[in-house]
Amino acid sequence: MTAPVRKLSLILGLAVCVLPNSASATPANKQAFVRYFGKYLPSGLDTCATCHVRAEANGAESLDEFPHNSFGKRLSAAAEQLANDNQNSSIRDRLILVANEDADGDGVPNLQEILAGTSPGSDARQPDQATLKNLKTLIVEFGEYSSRYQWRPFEPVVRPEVPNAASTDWVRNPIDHFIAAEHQARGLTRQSQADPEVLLRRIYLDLTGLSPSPEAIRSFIEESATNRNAYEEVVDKLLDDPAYGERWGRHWMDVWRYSDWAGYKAALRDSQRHIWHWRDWIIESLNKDKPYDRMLVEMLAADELTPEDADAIRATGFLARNYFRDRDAWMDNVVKHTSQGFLGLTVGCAKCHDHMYDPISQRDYYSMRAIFERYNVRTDRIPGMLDVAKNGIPRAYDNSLTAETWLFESGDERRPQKDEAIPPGVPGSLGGTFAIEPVSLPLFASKPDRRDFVKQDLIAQAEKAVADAKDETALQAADAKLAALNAVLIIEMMEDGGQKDSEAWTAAAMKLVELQRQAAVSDSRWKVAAGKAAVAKAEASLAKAVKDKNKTNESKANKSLAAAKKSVVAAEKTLATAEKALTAKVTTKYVARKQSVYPETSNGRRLAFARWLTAPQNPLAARVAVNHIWLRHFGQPIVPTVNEFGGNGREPTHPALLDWLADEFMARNWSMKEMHRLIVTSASYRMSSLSDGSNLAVDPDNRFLWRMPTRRMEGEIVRDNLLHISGRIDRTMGGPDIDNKLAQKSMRRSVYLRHAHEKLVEFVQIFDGPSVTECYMRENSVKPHQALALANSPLTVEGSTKLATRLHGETDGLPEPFIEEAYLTILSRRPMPEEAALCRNFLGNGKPDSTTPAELPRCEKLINVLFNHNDFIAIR
Amino acid sequence: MSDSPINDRRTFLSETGMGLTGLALSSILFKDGVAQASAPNQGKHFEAQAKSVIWIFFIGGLSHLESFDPKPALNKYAGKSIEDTPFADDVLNKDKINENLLDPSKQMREVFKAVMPLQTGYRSYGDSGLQVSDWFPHMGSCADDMCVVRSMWTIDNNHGAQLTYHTGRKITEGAYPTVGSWASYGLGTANRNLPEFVVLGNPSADCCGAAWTHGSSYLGPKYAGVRLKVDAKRPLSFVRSAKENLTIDEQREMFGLLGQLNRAAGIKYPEDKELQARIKSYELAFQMQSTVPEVMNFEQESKSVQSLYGIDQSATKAFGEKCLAARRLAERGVRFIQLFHGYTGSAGAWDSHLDIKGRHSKLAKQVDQPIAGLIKDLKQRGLLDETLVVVGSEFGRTPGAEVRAGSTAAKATGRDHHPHGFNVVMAGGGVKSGIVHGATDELGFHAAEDRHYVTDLHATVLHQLGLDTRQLELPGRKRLDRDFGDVMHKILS
Repeated sequence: MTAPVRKLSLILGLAVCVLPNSASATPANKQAFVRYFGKYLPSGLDTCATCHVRAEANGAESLDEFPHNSFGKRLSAAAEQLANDNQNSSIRDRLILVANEDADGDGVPNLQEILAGTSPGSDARQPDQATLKNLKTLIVEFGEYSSRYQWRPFEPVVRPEVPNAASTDWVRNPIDHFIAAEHQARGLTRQSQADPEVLLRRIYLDLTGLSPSPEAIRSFIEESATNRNAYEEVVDKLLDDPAYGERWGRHWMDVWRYSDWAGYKAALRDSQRHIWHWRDWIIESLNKDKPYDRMLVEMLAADELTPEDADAIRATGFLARNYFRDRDAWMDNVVKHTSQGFLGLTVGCAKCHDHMYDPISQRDYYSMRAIFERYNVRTDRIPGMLDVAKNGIPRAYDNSLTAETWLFESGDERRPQKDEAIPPGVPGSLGGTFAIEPVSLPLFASKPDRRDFVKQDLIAQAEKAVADAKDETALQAADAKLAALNAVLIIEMMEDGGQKDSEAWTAAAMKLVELQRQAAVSDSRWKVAAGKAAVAKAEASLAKAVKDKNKTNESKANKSLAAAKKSVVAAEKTLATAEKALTAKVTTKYVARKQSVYPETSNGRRLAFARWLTAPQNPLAARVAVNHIWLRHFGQPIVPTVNEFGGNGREPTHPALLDWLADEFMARNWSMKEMHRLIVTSASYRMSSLSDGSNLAVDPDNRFLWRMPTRRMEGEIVRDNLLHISGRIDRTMGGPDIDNKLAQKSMRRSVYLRHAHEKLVEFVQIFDGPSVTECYMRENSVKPHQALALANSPLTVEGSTKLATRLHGETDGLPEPFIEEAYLTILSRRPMPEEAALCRNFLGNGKPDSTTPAELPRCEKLINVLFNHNDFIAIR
Repeated sequence: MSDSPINDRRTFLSETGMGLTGLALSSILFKDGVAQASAPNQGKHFEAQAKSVIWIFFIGGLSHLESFDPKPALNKYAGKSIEDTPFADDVLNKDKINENLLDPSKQMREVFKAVMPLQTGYRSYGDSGLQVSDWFPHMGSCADDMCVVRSMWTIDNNHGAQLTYHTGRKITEGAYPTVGSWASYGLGTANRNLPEFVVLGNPSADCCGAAWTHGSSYLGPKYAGVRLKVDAKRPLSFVRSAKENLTIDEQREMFGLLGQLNRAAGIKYPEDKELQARIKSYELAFQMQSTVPEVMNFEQESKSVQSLYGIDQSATKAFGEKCLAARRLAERGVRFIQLFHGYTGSAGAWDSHLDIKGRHSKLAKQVDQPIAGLIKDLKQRGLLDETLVVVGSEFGRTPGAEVRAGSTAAKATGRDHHPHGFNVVMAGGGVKSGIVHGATDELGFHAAEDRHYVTDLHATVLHQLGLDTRQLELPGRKRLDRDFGDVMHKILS
């Protein structure tokens, strides 16, 4: 608080409020006032007239014309008073300060008047005796309400104190204290720790998405009997498994809206070709435990932060993915999803009008758009591939230093307000520093084809042409081209080294001009020769067609002949020109290498935004991230609306825990693996998912985590485990997206399958797979379609055959061990006697006590049934 | 709610259709006509008038002013401010405007005051003389079979109202059981071969409730709407086993074992609603392999029936097919068929802030003939009495032209969201026909007579199915008074 008074007057300056229809802006103070009282605010007191003089409201356009009443005056004086004492002077703090005063002097204190529904700034009406009598309970209730943990998502994270709520024999880390505090407050009884095999399956699926093998289960059960750290050791092992990056990569791909390229044939509509480089960057970064803040900065501005680091620049695939053929829709998506994904804010509605629930103005929306206004997408070459249509890195870069942003009237792009360009900025209500500094880019960013590997690839290509030359003219042409290429690369190097116009340069340039002229001649000669060969070929075809009396072929041949003759004429003409040029005076005017040239400066707007976003003072970035992480460990988030932390969202179940986690996350240098470790080693996470009648009656939805929620595998994980458990999985990592239509045939993990508009994996979608446009939180449905997919798909049927054959071989088909191994392999547990009996009966074809080997076909069927078992798809 | 394991086990077995006789009887699983064991508050509460409900929802907000609630005053005062009409005090009373909105302080929507004239004409139809706008001429021809309720109101002035329309709760309160899921919960199935609650068309987008608009929330996924594709060529994915030569009997045996194993394992999780739903989903899936392709195959439907629904025209084909499928599902005993129209991935196609004339007239054309075709077809088959058709939208649209910053009333072409008064249409199912019930004020702003919150519609629909919303309660789940709604007794015949 450096200048509290000035800040305050700025806020009040916004508070222009024209009664009786106060529909204009939403004054921040009024909102804070309403929020403070919440459901305790009687209707009628949510208007400007609570603090202002109603009679003077009509037509008032400034505060001077719309003065405070006695209560309003006292509130603004309180701000100064608190600020002078170096204390917080939020509306809440001020209201607490003046609660027991009596601004209008009518004998009833301010707080009592407000709760009773009469104006604290006017003595015209006072609460009647009956109301005053009831007020006592109301004041107590309100006291409890207002002293609960203050959830202030728009203010920087302040580390809350850890409650000392749990008995020491249960608690394993601070998380448990927060969880236990709610148990205590609500009279809930915690579930005890889950059985080892249940816990093991849970942590395997949670961290890697692949279930444990029977060997892993057996050894864990054995280990945990003697080793107190057996579980922690498994957690460490799983976090180091590259499958972790694939599992959590898919989670973040949901939040960051991953989509493979979408379009028809050559036309691109959405996302970019080869966007999978970004997916690989996500998975690699997670496996390296790259800090979350660093990941965000790289996704938004790696091209400005580390312009020479091609690996990091893959991260800007986040921006490349937002490409859309309509630029306004593109910009809209970037603003909308950057806000929702990283800030948990829906700003989309501010495109057309000031946000109705949060302090985000329409101008804020366009300021955010301005951050992105000047970026575009290009594809950079990668070593070994000159054709970017085949492979390359789609990336963001600033292609303009001048493009301006206009506010669209009512969000209508046909009505830009061109009288004022909107400068880039961030919502002021979120605080922080947003400082833009243009970035001057190295040569490799502005002229990426200057990179050594591109030059080497070009030389290799030219050398290949020499090696492949089929005749003398072709060889001469290829040789000349190679020579000219080498010479032009030398000139470039000289120029990049600042040697232009030096003597050596002049000599080299003249040499190059000669080589280029010779190359032109040899090339034309080769073209003439090639043309003549084509003429001869066409004449032969024509003769044959005439002989065969094949009219179709004859007309085809005639056409080719005409085209070939035309090409010969053209080539001869070029040759003549080229030969004439040979005799001209040699100059230094060589033909430069064709290559893309991009701006040498980047605006620095995105980098400024990324730094603002990831600064510790940013109130939302860490909170939103830990909420997403929590959601995916527990199956339910702390703030139920993961992409909406604002006024239109829902209140967190454990606000203090969320703040503590957010602070811890930043304190641990934004390490996601550290947070996973912390969460999954808590006692809360290790609870059993078993039910309990008395808890159910209090908290039927388990919002306060008296047990571990049962989750359902996502579609990708269902598919991955069908492959993994049946031993068919191909664990190759990374690379181009696999055709979505091959989902039933490919053995690769689902994260590598194509995921784009109209190119979705049906099997995954049936299990509530992610929408391409947005998916901040998955649905969790149970549908007959899922039953059909799991029972009938080739994935299950072929996987069942494979697994049944293996287990049949290992157990000689003996029912008892076959059933035990099948349960352990697919469901990660042993069968209960009742289950074993049912299975024996099935394998024995109605003879439950059969000890003779079961037939393979029946074993296959049993395996299929177990893949469809609820305990396969459920994560307990 | 019980804490005795024996009772839990008993409840679990009955919830999953096993009854006390337990596992030995699993062989009856796939036979038709097995009575569903029901919890104490399940089953009909009184005689039902209707067997099925076809619930049609327009996503985005249908203008009540240009559909079934003509307001000549809007033409009379066109261009003037509401303030300059004789109704100003009544209409613009701020308390009245805020009265019904949940958290009015959070819902800052401007009141657009420049009166916008009606964008289409109206005609009287049939013996009843019911007035229907010129954008819905086919529905007009069904006027004598329709009941228009003109006095609906809701609590949210943004598109979260799509969810409210189906649950009665504001979107910020989260998911709650929808009217269809209560029907499914209360009545169970009439046909074990099809889901009792089917959804056709793309539901609301993420902004506005998404799958929650046909969800079942705490009732458990067993009672959620099942989405079906209207596609004769590929009605159901993975409809046949990839295992060659697997006979239906072999599959029945496998599914039977699965049911037994799931029940055996589920003893440990007696209240696991996902598990209960999954058990049911397998039993249903087994049957749906043959029933769904049959329902979605319209070959047996005559050309004239198909053209009644507009299936032969490009504008009406898509929605016509959904309406015809709805009839076929209702005929086969599906309790609740929910049809969505106007999915856009965001607020919905009907949301006409600009160019309401162009947008609404185009959309009306897509649905008008199919809905009229449905009513006529049900009638000609004698099914209208037992099938209740309900057509509605999350809210109406403002009488004032939507004028945003920098623009003028003269340039404005659209209407904003309007939760204070709007209409729904019903037909069949024991509802009086050819009548208008309730009214908005002269400007079509506030619902004025016989006002009905959206849950009154739920109560009425469920009442016709034989259910009393006040008896639909689950232990531990507190229902608010506004959740129950009041039956619109005046419209019942």
